[in-house]
Amino acid sequence: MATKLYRAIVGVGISLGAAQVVALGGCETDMQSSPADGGSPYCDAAWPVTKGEGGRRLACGVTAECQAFVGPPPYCVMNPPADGVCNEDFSKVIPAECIDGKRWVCLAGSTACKCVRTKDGTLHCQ
Amino acid sequence: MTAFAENGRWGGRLGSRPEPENDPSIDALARSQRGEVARIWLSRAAMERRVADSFAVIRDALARRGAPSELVTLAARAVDDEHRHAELSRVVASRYEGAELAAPPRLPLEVPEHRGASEAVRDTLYVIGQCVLNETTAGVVLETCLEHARAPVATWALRELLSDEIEHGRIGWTYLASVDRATRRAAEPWLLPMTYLNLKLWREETPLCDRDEALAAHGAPHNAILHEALVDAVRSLVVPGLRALEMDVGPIERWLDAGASTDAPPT
Repeated sequence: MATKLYRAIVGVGISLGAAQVVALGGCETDMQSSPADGGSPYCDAAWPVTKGEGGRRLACGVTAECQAFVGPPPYCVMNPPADGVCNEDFSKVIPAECIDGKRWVCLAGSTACKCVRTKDGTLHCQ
Repeated sequence: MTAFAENGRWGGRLGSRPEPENDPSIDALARSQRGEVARIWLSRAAMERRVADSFAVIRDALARRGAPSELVTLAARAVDDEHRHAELSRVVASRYEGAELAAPPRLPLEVPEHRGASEAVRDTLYVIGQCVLNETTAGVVLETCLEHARAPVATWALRELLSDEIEHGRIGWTYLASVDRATRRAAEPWLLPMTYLNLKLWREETPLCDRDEALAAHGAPHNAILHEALVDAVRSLVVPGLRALEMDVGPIERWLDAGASTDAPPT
């Protein structure tokens, strides 16, 4: 498996790149960089993954118990729609918290909203 | 619905192949199983949407560095690809939910700071982080999911996603191979920290909870399987690729040999 993907992603990519010449916008002094100049590089962010499950919001243990008891957690959003009609103007997603392994609670002033399209085509929180 | 371009990769369609109309394997699942698969795919939809924002940063970084125009164009198309992936994932989630689910809320993007790096080095680190590490890893994760998938809709979606992720990963390797040795050397001190942080995040986003084995056929194998694939991606793709580009992978190899723990930064 890995060999096939190595060829497809890495091997082909390197072959294509090696055949090209890049006129770098920087000069040599631009390359004088060190992570030691800016604090620990281990405290930086990583580029967000694309195939996760929101694991940091859905840890195991009591959270998993909640899922088993009442199902998956809701989306908790700031700026909830006043009339129950969803839009995509949610500024931030807040983690839901599992209480006593039996219920999900949206914290920090957020509101649960799972947008579902109704038969008339509008989106409503469920 | 997440908008993607009518003149994008597949001319306004979700993928190269049509979405399967019938999937009896979905109907055969219990309600709770369908809900769980829907939740997983809807989470993926939210994440794919955010990665569209990531690729906008990569596109601009490549342009600033004077990368070949073809690469900048590919990165621009990747932005649209990720919008399409978000919609594709939402469609799959809706199939499992049995109702038309709305696009999930937009997730905020936190771009790595790479303190201590000049702008030129930072741009290169962006490409390494998003393409060489993140998208290459995504390719391995998707292929692993595909190995277990049997359901027509899930299999269709995973194939569509994988074919694009291969190209997205290539953007990074092509760029890295096209720059001079000094540029690659300048990035070396960040390789282990970035690899560590990337693996840590992937592990966090795929928690080792109990998982109904039946869901593997629907593109959601147990995350323990994915965790093995994550390390394999580093060992079998990332490290050999960086070594082929004459970059120092010694620190990454030593960390891998010590167990690739992400509980605490390597010392």
